[in-house]
Amino acid sequence: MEYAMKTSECKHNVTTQFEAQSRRLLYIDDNPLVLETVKQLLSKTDYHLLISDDPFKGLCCLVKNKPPTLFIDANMGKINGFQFCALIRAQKQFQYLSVIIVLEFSNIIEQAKARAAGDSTVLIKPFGRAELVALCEKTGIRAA
Amino acid sequence: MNPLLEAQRSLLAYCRELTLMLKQSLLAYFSVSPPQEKKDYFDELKKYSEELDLLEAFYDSENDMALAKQLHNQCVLLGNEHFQDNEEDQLRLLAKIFQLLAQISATFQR
Repeated sequence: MEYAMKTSECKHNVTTQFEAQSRRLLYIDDNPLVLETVKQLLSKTDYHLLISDDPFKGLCCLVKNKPPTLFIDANMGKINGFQFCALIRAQKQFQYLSVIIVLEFSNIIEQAKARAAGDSTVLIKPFGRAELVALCEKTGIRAA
Repeated sequence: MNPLLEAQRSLLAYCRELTLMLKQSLLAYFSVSPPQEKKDYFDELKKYSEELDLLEAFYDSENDMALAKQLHNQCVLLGNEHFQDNEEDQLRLLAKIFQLLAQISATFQR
């Protein structure tokens, strides 16, 4: 089986054609190194990865592409992951969305904040391919 | 203390910035002559107005007038040949864009 990951950088306004709706995920982190790592981790899978290094451009990407799963970093400059999550959960159109808040370390306070922000799963850094893929599958993205 | 209110505050600041950049691009679009420069500013206009449109549900959920969608459509029309050749229609279109920008900016105050 041949694997091909497609990556779209929303900040560059890339219009994409998706092979399968259910295999898309959006990852938002204002650290480009993290995005590069995620790209590499998913490089031999057939997930369609959308990335954004700006939370508000990422929000535009979310509205435009409506991926079923969102990974968002908890600590960003303009708006943090918990605030972002509260913002999208206030919208009916995103109640379907699986949100994974990515934390720097395991901390009960941060985990409680993630839960309070609207039923979100958490992922602790650093994480590997197996963890990432397992979470994708668990939250509704199905590999072909 | 309230993540939703804090998020909305940050979003409004971002959208205010977008409207300012859009206005600057609009002024620049009408002040340059080389086609490539004009195209670059036109692309910026489309980009900023599209972002405002995509984010509208988050900063103005009570209003169903879709002001930002109208703004985006008007900005796209600026590139239309008809409006480039007809000064009076272009003027009318530009006035409409300024009106919509003012209405959108007013929603940021609510």
